[in-house]
Amino acid sequence: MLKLIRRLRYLLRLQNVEADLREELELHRAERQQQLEREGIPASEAALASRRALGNLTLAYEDSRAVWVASWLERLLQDFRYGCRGLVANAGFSCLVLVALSLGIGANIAIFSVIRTVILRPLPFADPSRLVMLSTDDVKRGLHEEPASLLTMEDWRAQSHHFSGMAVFRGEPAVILGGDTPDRVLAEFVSFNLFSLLGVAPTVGRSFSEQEQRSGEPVVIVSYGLWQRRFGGSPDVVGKALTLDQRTSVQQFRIVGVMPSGFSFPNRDAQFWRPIVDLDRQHEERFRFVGRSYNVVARLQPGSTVRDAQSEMIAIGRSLEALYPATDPTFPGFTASVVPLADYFTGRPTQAALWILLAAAGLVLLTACVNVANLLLARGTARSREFAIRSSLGAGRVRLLGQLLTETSVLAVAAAVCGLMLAGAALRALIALAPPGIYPSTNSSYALTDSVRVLARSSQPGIPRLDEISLDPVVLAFAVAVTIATALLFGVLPAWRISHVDPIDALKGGATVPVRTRMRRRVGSLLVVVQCALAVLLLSGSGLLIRSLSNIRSVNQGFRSDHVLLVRVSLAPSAQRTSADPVRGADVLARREFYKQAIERVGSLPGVQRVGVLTDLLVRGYVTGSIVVNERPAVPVGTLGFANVGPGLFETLEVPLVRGRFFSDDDVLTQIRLVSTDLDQIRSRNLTWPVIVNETFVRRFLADVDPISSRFRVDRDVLRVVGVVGDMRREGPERSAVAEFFSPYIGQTSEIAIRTSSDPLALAVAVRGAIRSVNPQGMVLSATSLDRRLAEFGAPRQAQTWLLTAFAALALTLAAIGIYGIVRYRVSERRREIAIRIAIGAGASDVFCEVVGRGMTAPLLGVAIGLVGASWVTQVMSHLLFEISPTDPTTFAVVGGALAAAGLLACWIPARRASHVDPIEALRCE
Amino acid sequence: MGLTNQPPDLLPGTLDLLILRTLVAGELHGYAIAERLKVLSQDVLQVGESSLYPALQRLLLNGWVRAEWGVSENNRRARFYTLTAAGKKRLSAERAEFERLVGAIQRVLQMA
Repeated sequence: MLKLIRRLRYLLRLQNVEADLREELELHRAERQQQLEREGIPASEAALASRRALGNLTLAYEDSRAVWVASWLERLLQDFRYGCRGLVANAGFSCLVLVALSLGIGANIAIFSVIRTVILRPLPFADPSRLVMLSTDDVKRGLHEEPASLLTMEDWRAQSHHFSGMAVFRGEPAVILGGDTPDRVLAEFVSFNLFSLLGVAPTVGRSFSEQEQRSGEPVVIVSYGLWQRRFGGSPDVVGKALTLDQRTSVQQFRIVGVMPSGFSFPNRDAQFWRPIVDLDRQHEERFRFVGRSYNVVARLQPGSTVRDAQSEMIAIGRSLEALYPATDPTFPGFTASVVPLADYFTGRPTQAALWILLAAAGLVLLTACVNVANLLLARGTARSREFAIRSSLGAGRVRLLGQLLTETSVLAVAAAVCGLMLAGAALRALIALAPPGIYPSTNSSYALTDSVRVLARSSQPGIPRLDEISLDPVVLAFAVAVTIATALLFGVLPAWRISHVDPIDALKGGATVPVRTRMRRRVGSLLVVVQCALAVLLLSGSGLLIRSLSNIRSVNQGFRSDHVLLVRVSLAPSAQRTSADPVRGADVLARREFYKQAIERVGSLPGVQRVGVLTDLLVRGYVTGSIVVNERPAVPVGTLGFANVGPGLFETLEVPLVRGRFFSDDDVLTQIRLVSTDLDQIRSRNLTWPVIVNETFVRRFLADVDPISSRFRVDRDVLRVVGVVGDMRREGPERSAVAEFFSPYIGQTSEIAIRTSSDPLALAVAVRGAIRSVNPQGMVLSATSLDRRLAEFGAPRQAQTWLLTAFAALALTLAAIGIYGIVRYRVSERRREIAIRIAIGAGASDVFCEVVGRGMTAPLLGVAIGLVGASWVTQVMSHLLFEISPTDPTTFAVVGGALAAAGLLACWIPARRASHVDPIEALRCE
Repeated sequence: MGLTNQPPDLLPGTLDLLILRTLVAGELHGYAIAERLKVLSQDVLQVGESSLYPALQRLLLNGWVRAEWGVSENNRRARFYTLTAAGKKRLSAERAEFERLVGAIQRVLQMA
C-alpha cells in the first residue's frame, strides 16, 4: 500500500525525479573520470573510460526509471495513448463503432431506467413488500381485480389470520370549487386506518379518527400538491374549508391534514382523501352483493407470505359462499385474490412489455457487439503485419492482448458516455410522449336512478410513476456493467485471434496475410449469420406491431371522428342545493334549459355544423346485473354499456341509424318527468324509459324479436327501445363494441360534441364564450378535438411500436454494416486471386456475381434462422397484436425480403470494386 | 529486462543486501557506494555501475533507504542515501537468510 503511494508520488512529480536521476548518473560519471585522472590517465581517455565503466547510460537511466513506472501502470498509459492514436487514425471505423455501440448502450440504459423506476423501485410506503391488494376475481366474466363490498371486507378481516390490517379506498371524480378555475380531481374515499396501514403520516395536521368515519364528519386530508396550489403551502391550512362538488351535492369540508410531498395513493390524480361513509346497518345485507366498489389493501403479518394468504382467502371465500348463497347468477363470489401492491399498480402486461423492450435493447446491443467484433477482426487481419513485427520484437502475447483490450475499452467507455447522454435525451422524450399514470374515471354521469349501479372504470392504460424516472446511481452502475460486458464481448474474441498471429507467416506473406483463413472466415460468417437472425427477429416483431397499428387505424369506429370538438361542461349547481336534496325535476329542467340554449348558441357560431350532448363519449358507463327481455327469464348481462345522450348527438357524430328513430326533445322531457317521479308510481303506472340500443345489443338480447318497441328490464327500470344505432367503439378502436343502451338525459357534467367545417380547436374560444353567455356558472372544463382524444388511447401502443421499430431499424443497419465489412474484407484478401482470374479472361460480371453469391450465403442463412426463431418468439407478444397472426406470412416475407435487399446492397459496393480490379496493378503491388 | 541488471557473478538479490550494508555506517552517495563495495571486497565485487542505480531506486520504492540532496566531498551536488528503520530490519533479515544459504552451501561442499 505504502509502495503504491510512493509510486503515485513519484508519478506526480515525474519530471523532477527524472532530472534528479540524470544528474545523479552524471555525477557518478564525473567522479569516476576524476578518479581515473588522479590515477594518471589523460582527461580525454578518462572521460571515455568513465563512460564505458558506467555502461549504457540511457539503459541505466531507463532501468532506474522502470523500477518506478514500467509496471502495468505505464503500460496501461502507453496502451491508452496508442489506442487513442489508432482510433483517431481510423476515424471512419471508430465513428461507425462508436455510433453502433452508443445506440445499443443508450437504449439499454434508457429502458433499464424505466424498469427500475416503474418495477424495481419500492413503493414509497413503510415496508411496501408486505402490502397486498385483495380483490375478487370474476372468472365467469373474465374480470380481474374487481373491488369488494365493505361487508365482505369485514368478513375477510374477521376470519383471516395472515393480515395485520385491512383498509379500503374508492375513487370518485370531484370538482373543487372556488378560486379562479375549478379543479377536476379524483377524490378518494378511504377507511380511517388507511394512512396508518401504509405507514405514512400527514406532514401537517393529523389523520382521520374512527369517530369521524362513523359519524360521517365532513373532513378531508389534502395532497401536498393541492396544499401548495390552493393554499400556497400555508401552515394554518388545518381547519380551513374546501368546497367540493361531488356528483350529487356541493358541500364544505374541513381540512384536518396534509400528506407529505411525494405521497400519492392510489395515484397522482387523487388530490384529497375523505373518510368512507359507514353504511347504515339496515341496508347492509343488500350491499353484501351489490355494493362492490371498495378496493381493499391489506398488510401481511410478519412471517406470512402471499401464498399463505392466498390459500387462506380461498378457504374463507368458500365458507362465505356457503354462508351467503347468491341469488344473482352473475355474482362473482367472495374469493379474494391476493396481489402484491406493486404488481397491482404496475399491471403485469406493462411489466411484461418493459421486460420485452429490455430484451430487445439487449439484442440490439448484442448485434452492435457482434458488429464491432467483426470490424475489429477485419481490421485486425489488416494489422496482422504490425502485430507480427511487434511480436517478433519481443512483445508477449499477454502484452498484445492487453493492448487490444485497452483499445476496445477506450471505445466502450466513449460509447458509454455517448450512450448515457442519448439515454437521458430519450428518457426526456419518453416522459413527454408517454401518457401519465392511471387516469381517473371521468364519468360522473348520473345513474338512471340511484338503484342502478353505474361503474365507471378507467379504460386508459398508462405507465404509472413514469414522471419519477431519473438516472440514479443504480442506473449508472448498470451502465458501467453494460459497458464492461460490451468491451469484453466485442473485444476478447478479436484480441485472442489477433494475438495468435504467427509472426513468420505474417511477415512472409506480404500485405494481408490471413492466418488460419478458413477458421477466421468461419468466425466472420457466423457473426453475420447471428446478426441477420437478430435483425430478422426484431424486424418481425416491429413489422407485426406496425401491421397491428395500421389494422387499428383502419378499424371502423362507428362514428366520424375528424372535425369534432369535444367540450366538457359542468353546470355548477345552484348554491341552495344540498346533499339532502338530490336530483329533482326542477333542477334537471333548469339544466336541460341550459344545455338547450348552449347548443343553440354554439350551433349558431360560424363554422359549426351540428352540435350534440352526451355524458362522456370515450368513457363508458357500465351497468351490471341481469336483464329481462319481454318477460322472459333473466339473462346475465356481463358488461352492458350505457350513456346519457342528448338530441342531435348521433347526427353530429354521424352514427348510422339502423332502425326506428333518434331521440327527440320529447324523449328528454319524458325522461326528466320520470326522474322526478316516485319509483312506486312508475311501477304502478307501468311507465317505461325510452332508450336507443346499438346493434350488438340487438344481436345479443333482441335477435329474435322486433327490436323497436321491445321492452326490457334492467334492475327495476323498464326500458322501451325507440331506435337502433350502429356500434361505436367508444373505448378506443382496439376494444370491440359492447352491447349498450342510451338514455335521453342530460347529466350535470356533460360533453358537447361539435362538428365543425374547419380546424375544431380554432373554435374552442368562441364555444367557451357562447357557453358562458348562457349561464356564467357554466364551467368549461376542457376542450379538445376528438381525434386528439382518440390519439391518447393509442399513445402507449404507438410508443411501443416506434420504439421496437427503431430497434429493428438499428439492427438492420448494423447487419448491413456487418455484411459490408466481411465482404469487403474478403475481396481485399482475394485481390490477387481475382486479378489472376481477370487476367486469364474472367469477365467483370462473373467476378461480380461470384462475390455477391458468396457474400449472400451467410445473410440468407441468417434470414432463414431468424424467420424460424421469429415464428416462435412472436407468440410471446401475441397480446400486443391486433387482428393479425403472430406468424403472419406477409409480414415475414417482407421482413425476409428487406433483409435480403439490405444484404445485396451491402455486397454491391465491394463486389463492384472486385469486378473493377486492374490485374496488372494488383499483381504488381505484391 | 530484470536479469540484465545483475552481474552474473553476484547471487540474485545480494546487491540490495550489500548496498544496505554499506549504508550502515552512515549516508553515502551513489558513486561512494560503488567505491566502498569495490574497496571492501578488495576488488572482487565489481558491481556493474549501471545496475547500482536501478537497485537504489528499488530500495527507495520499498522504503528501505531515504535519499536527500547534499554536497559531496568534492563540493558537488550529490544525492545521499540513508538507511531507514525498515531498511535496518530488512538488512538483518536478509543477512540472516544469506548466512543460512551460504552455510548450507558450505556444508554441502564440505560433506560431499
